[in-house]
Amino acid sequence: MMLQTRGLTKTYASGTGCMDISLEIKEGQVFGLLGPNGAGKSTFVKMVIGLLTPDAGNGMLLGKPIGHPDSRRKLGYLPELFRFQEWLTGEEVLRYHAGLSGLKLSETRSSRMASRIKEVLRVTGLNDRGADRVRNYSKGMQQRLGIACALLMDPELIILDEPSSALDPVGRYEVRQLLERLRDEGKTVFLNTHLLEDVEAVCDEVAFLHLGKLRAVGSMRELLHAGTSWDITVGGWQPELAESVGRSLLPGMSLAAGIQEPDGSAVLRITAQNREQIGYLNRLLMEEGITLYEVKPVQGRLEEWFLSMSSAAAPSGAGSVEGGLRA
Amino acid sequence: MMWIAFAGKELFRKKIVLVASVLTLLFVALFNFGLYKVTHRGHSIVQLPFENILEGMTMLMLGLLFAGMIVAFLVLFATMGTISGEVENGLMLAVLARPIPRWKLYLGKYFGTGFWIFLYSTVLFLMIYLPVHEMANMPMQTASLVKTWLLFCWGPLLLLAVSLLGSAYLPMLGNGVACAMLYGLGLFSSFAESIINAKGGNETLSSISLGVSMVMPSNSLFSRMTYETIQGIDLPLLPDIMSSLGPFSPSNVPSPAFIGYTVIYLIALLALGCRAFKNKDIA
Repeated sequence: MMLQTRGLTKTYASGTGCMDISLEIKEGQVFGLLGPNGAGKSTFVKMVIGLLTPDAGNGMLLGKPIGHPDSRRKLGYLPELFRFQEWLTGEEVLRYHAGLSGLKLSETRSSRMASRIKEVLRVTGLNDRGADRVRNYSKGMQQRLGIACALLMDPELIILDEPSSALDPVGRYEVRQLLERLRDEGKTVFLNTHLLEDVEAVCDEVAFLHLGKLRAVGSMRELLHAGTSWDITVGGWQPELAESVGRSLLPGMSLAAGIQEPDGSAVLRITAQNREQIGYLNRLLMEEGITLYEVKPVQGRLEEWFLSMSSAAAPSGAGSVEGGLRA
Repeated sequence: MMWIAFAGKELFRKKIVLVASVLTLLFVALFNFGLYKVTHRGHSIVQLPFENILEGMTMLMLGLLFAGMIVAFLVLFATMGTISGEVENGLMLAVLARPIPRWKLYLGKYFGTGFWIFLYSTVLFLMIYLPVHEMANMPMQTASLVKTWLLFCWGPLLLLAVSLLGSAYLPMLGNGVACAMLYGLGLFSSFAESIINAKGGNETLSSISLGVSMVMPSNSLFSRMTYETIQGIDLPLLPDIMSSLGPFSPSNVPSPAFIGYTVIYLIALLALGCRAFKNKDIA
């Protein structure tokens, strides 16, 4: 287990913070922590890192109690609202962090470290700016340097707090690609973000935090794909087919014809319980002589889930269901 | 070594060294000009014995007092936000996520900056002492010179520990104001005590001065430094100059035990700072 927390609690004088958070993150998992602003996500992350002392609860990070310096030995962390020493160059920031990680001054200046620095700068798109002072970096470049810093010591667990904030669309795309690469390399990633498309693209499991409490935790598939919708673009569609196809649908499935053109092309909105049901529908349509052009998940379904979770009245203390709503 | 290199880079790149060097050279030039005028003015009738030494001694103490103030302000402005400032602007978030115990980071910052402050204090001390030695022909025993030098450097290192501890509790500006006022209070109470003592003394003022010097011993160290300098003047038949230096006359010379207290005080300040930083929430 890379991270395990039990009843982690931190409350501020204002009453905000987070309460009784119990989470487990397994090796190789890409975990997304979601929640609206002020939900307590960053408070939770800071307790895990050891920046905040919990009021109650405990946890283990990489096999050591949270807060212990050794628990951070194989950890990479990108904070949300951070700054680097603007009077250092990008490369010097990375060398400084290598020193903070326990390397001697001579080791931080070794050719091995120089090539590692070059590598993380290349990965984050800063390869030709490493010798520039941080004060000359844009906000997006500082964010990239933060990611480079998190990756520097080849961590086993990478905690990224809003990694795409301050980045332009190209930067966001590159971060998503980086996340996918980390996942493919088998790294464990804890992602705290508002960008739901990032979560949707890379996360295996998500948790939803609202008003300081954990409302849901489970796999993306369990939380989002149960009873969700797909848009299917077809050719050769006739309005009367809606009834015949509809009769053959499995329980839990529904079909609604959306855009229908005179030439027979149409977009059908399908609600299904799982992907296998979509495969079944495909067979049905083929049997009716329909040409299937495209199947895609309905955009914004995570957003819908997020909004519904945020607005849901969620009284506490009624137990919890792994893989579903905690209420 | 990493902390010394890092603190050095910070002081150089933030142009603190540049500004401090320019102003220090200006101060030293003014001091030398004044010293030259004092030691080379024509004497109307006849020069009193040891008059040059007395004048040189007064100039040395004046120079070291103001040099001490310059170092003190350098320490305060360079370090008043070492902890709280870095927490406020988000610098600490990435730093404290590294596997380094906070006490190590705290002491690293102290000794890293302390090294450069010690170096600067030494250079400044020599820039004040050497011209006085040359122009006023003031002979000095090596042991006393070393003691004077170490006492001169010790004050800023204590102030650095106070400032660092303050920055673990107070916001940057608040800490700067608090430390500057404490330093000023230390100077004022000590000089006020010297002046009042010359007119018979006042017990209450002495108690207040002692209390202040327990918290901010920089001026007591200055008194001890004056005492050591006078003791070190290597001339026979020297008249009593202990009370001939006006406000610089050390009225209540701190004992060696007090110097020992400042060492324990420094250790306590660092220990308290480490503890405060360890328990500080980095929100």
